Amino acid sequence: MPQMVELIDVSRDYGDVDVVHALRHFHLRIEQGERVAIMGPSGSGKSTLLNLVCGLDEPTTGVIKIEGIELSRLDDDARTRLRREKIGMVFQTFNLLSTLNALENVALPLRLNGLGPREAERRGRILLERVGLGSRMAHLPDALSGGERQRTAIARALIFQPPLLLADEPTGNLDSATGDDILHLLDDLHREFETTILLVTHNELAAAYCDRIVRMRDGSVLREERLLKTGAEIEQ
Amino acid sequence: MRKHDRISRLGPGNPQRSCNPLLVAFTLGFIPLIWSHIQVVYCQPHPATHPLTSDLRPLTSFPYLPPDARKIMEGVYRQDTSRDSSWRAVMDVRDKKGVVRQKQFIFRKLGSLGDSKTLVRFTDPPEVRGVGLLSINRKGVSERQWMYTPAIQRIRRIAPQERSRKFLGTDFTNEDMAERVLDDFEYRLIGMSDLMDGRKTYKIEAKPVASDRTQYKFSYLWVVQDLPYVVHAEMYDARGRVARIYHAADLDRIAGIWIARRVEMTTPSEGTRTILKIDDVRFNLGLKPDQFTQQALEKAE
Amino acid sequence: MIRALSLVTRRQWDRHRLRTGLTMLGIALGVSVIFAVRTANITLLGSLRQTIEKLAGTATLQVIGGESGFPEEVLDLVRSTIGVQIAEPVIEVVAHTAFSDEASLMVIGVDTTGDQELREYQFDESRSEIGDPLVYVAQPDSILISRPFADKHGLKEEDRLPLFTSHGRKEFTIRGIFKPVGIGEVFGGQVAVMDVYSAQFVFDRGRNFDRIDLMTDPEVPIETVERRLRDQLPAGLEVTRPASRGEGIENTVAAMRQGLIITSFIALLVGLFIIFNAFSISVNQRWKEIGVLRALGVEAPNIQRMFLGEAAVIGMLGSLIGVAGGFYIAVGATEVVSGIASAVYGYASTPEPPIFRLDYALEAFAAGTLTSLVAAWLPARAAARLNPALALHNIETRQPEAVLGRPRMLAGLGLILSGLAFIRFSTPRVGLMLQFGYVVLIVLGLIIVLPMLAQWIARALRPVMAWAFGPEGLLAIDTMIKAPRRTSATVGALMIGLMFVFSTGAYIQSYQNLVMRWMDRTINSDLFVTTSEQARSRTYHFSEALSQRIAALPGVKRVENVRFTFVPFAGDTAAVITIEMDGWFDRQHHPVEEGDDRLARELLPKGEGFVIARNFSTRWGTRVGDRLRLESPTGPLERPVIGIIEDYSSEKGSVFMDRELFKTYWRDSAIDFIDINLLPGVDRAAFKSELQRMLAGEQRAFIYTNDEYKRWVMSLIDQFFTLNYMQMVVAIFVAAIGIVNTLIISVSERRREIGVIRAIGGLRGQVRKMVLLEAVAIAIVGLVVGALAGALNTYFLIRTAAVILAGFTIPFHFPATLIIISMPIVVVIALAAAWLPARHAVDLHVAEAIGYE
Repeated sequence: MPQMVELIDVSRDYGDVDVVHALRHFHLRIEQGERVAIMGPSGSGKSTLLNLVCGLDEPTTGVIKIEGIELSRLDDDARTRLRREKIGMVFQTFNLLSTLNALENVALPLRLNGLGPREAERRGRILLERVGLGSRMAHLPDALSGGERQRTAIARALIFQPPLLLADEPTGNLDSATGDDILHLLDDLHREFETTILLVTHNELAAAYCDRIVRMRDGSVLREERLLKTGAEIEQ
Repeated sequence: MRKHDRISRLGPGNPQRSCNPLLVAFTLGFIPLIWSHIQVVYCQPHPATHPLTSDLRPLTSFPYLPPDARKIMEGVYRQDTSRDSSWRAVMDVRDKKGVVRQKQFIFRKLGSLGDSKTLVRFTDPPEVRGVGLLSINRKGVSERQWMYTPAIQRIRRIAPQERSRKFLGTDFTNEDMAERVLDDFEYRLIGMSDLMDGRKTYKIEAKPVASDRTQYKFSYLWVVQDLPYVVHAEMYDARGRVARIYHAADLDRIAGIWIARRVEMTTPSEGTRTILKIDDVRFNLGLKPDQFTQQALEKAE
Repeated sequence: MIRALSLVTRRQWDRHRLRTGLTMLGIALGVSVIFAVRTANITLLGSLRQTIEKLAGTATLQVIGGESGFPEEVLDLVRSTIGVQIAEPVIEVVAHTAFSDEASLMVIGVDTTGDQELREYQFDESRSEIGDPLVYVAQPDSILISRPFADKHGLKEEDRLPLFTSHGRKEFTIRGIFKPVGIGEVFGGQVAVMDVYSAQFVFDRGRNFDRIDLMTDPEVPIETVERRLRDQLPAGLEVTRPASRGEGIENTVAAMRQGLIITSFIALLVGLFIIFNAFSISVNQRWKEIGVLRALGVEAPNIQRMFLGEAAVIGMLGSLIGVAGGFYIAVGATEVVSGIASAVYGYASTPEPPIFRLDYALEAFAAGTLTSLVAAWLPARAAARLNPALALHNIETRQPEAVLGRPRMLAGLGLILSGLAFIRFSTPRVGLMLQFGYVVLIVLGLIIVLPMLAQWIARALRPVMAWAFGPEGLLAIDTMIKAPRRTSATVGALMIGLMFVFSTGAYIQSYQNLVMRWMDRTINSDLFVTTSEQARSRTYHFSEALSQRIAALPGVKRVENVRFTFVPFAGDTAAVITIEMDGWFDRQHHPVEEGDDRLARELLPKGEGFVIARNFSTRWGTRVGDRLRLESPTGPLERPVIGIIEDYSSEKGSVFMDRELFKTYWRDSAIDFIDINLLPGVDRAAFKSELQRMLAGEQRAFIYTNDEYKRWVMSLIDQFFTLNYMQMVVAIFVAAIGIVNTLIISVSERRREIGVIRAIGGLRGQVRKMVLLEAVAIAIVGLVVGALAGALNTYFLIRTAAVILAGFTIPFHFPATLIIISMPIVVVIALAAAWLPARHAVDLHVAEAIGYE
């Protein structure tokens, strides 16, 4: 069985003259079902790493594989499809479409994939109920609280039941109580769907929910820590 | 040269005056007559200078007295005593390239200077055959002219023209065609010894009384000493250059009236020349006024 | 402070170069159309005026009559008037050569024995005069031509020049060639001079002149002579100075000019929307920047000034480009208006380069700049009123755009309704500017209700879009709904543009339908012979001899001779249509709409009455039973109006009379149209080709069968509206720029959103489709509101403009066909306009757009 995510000697440079080395000879392997937290100060290369993994950016050198598929061998549309079906994304700023209500936002990836509106919304409804927003489905993002928005975003990310979930500071814009709720939700979902999670965060507590923490500095791995118990298990 | 290409526009001068020049479009035939009696007719004859009884003899009978220039001119003006006249003319107009255009016409005149009617009828070349020109000149009344063109069977009235304009491509300007008023000029005898075609002449200077009456600054006239006829003239323009030279030759006396059989007008600056040869001259043949009407003009002969 | 702020502005422009450029282009186009139309107009008038003045030579006064001239006795009268020094008759004919190109040649008939006092002819080849003046006058085939014409056709002196005259083809002999100065400059040098009496003969003018040019005694004031002449001459003759004759022409082409100027403002109005749109978006986008500036201590008025300053600079730059571009457009526009003037009004003009009028340039410049400022006013105010704390807080908590409330809605509706009421109930005599105000009311009202209207339509469209185009369609339409300000500005631009297109189109169509129906009813001869392939020739006519020859042909039942001319009337002109009335009435079923048809049939052929066109009655308030007085060259002609008929021959209004009556009073036996009625069973087409054979190379004439004739009239109408068609294209083009601008803005504003869509799995193609669909949605909404506005404006054009300009009563037709036809066109234009923005959206760098923080 291939690795869920595999980065082999990946470097990413920006600029021509004053070259910024966002990632330097970076190696990372993530097993199926594993939860990995990436931590590090601003500018350590966390966002670059996420962009590379989801195929929004391409490495200067090195190879990135998702479930054994080499991203650089895919064209933009194939990468987009892979992203749609295999990778769910959750952002710090939620990135919901303000013109669509919660349900429409969640159903959007299905619809972009060509599914009819009825079926897409049926599945969206199930997921929204699962994340606890069964009563807020018809609300526009503006009418939702921060936590509700993030739940919607998570529901949207999971609509394809992707094997990989990328989360970029999912609690960054939330107060700590709401943040905890979201982390619990992710934990539950992980167990339920056996989703591999790659979490970028500043928050040690959030990182504690993971199996492994990768600490980065200046585009390289500073050190890795394997946690015996995740945050949720500790709480329990 | 270019300047001459341009056909005139009206200058400041006014072509209409109280006594209208007998402009005679097309009365080229008229010219020798006028010039033979001095190209001019008085419009307002002065009784004092117009004694009907006076004769030409005195001019020659008092050889020791220096003749009075004005008296000489009066004699010229009075020499034609005919009631009517008729003659044929051949007119050659030579342009500066030497191309000659010839026309022939019959000229008829009824009445005397100051009260006359003339009818010119072209006979050749075919393009102009039948074209007629009727002029009625009465002193104190603006002269009237009509032209008849047989091709479209139309009579048209001809309006007065600018005096310095050349008359239908000839070397005569409209002013040259007109009856000149004796009193418009001051005359001075300046020579008595010039010979013209073997005849002794008086050389007389004619200066306009008012400059707006003529295009010329002054003229020299040569009058034969033993007969009252201008045989040569030079007209000078405003800059004192010779504008035109007139010459009358082959003088003949018919029914007691002198007439030149050959008249020539030259424009030295342009190198063009118009020559008129006159033939079949008859005086007092009893022409009737109804031969000088618009109806008569329309009738082909 | 301002300098510091201008730095901010400059950076913004630098960053949004395309948008800034398009905004400028919007204004530039509006300005250029206005400037081009006015320049073309003044150039045409200048050219017509110059032509008149050159033809007039040194004449200080002119005596003119109607188009058919006046008897030559007038000349003696004029010459005998004290203070008149020289008076020379003139005839002008635009003739055609019998060379293969049938080039037109302006033949000026003058009395060469006297005319050279007035006009300058510079002969070449160092000739000082016509070769042989006597031959020239004696032979009616004599003609003098200009050097350019001679060179063009390889002619020299004594060569033969074949021309089509009223008596058929005639060979003329060239007796002199004059240089292209003075009179030789007129009509592009396509000029010939001949003897006026020969011209009368050759062009069948009887014993009439077109004009007398005269020079007054310099010692007598011109006014005195003018007055004396007026007192002496019949009232049908006009004494005028050459310089002021241009005004008469200006008056004649007034309908064309007014129409053009009004419509050219449409383009600027569309530009206004583009600017408004650009600035609203700019303010929206710079929310945060404004917040920062306010936090840094920039006062609200200065924020407003910053935006207004930007608008002023954009407006000025755009106007500058517009004026420069407009001047170039004017070259083509001048050709078009000259073409119309000669086709429709029969005025020959000398082609001239456009005249640059500084005042027009400044006006257009000011209009553009002002439009820009007006358009930016509201957005600038919104920027100044922004709450800085809110703006700084988070760019995502953007204020929801205010959707207009009920009071505004009601106000807008009120304006629309009052405009409609004015149009419906106002009399046509209150003046064009005031009446133009009605349509302004309507447009204003529409603009006020537009955002709401656009919303409603978009909402109605939402399920359709979702059903037809899936999520992309939904996203596209939602984008519209959520940004009513951005959308409605573009929709507004589109609305104005389409309103103009629909209403002009509907007007033209209604007019054409009307004329078509009218022709079907009244034009019932089998064949028509005309003097010109344009509406008519003012100067070239047929002789009666031709008509008699045609009448004698086997198969002909009867011919009628139509003279269509214009006479002075009440300070304007009226059309006079003369025909053998008995024959005409025989062919009409019930022509007299108002008045006694039987009486008209009885009296008109005897010359004892007139019938008038409906629009003549409307224009001049003349009713059945009134006695109508026309000034003829031989004195006044007064007859009772027996009836009113439907007639669209002239926007000036026509008076119908019997041909014999006209001939008596105008001494004019010329013919413009010969209507041929064939015996039953004679084939039209066969007869036509036979007639063509008979006339070929002999008479310049255009023969049409009944159907061809009608088609020909329709194509003339089309030609009259050429400029309007061109303006329609410009309006759509400007609106398309609006779409491009909006979509570019929409794309850049939604970078993040598009990024998200891409991030969660939206393909490039899907993003492209979304942007394109947004354009389609805008186009559809624009079409709907444009159709509404177009219908309202059509109502205005038909009820008010047509009545004022021509006195025509045109039935109102909703331009349904036109709208349906334009739908796919507008959608395609919208798609084309969306192409560039769509590419922007597709090429978006997703990671940057989402902007991890």
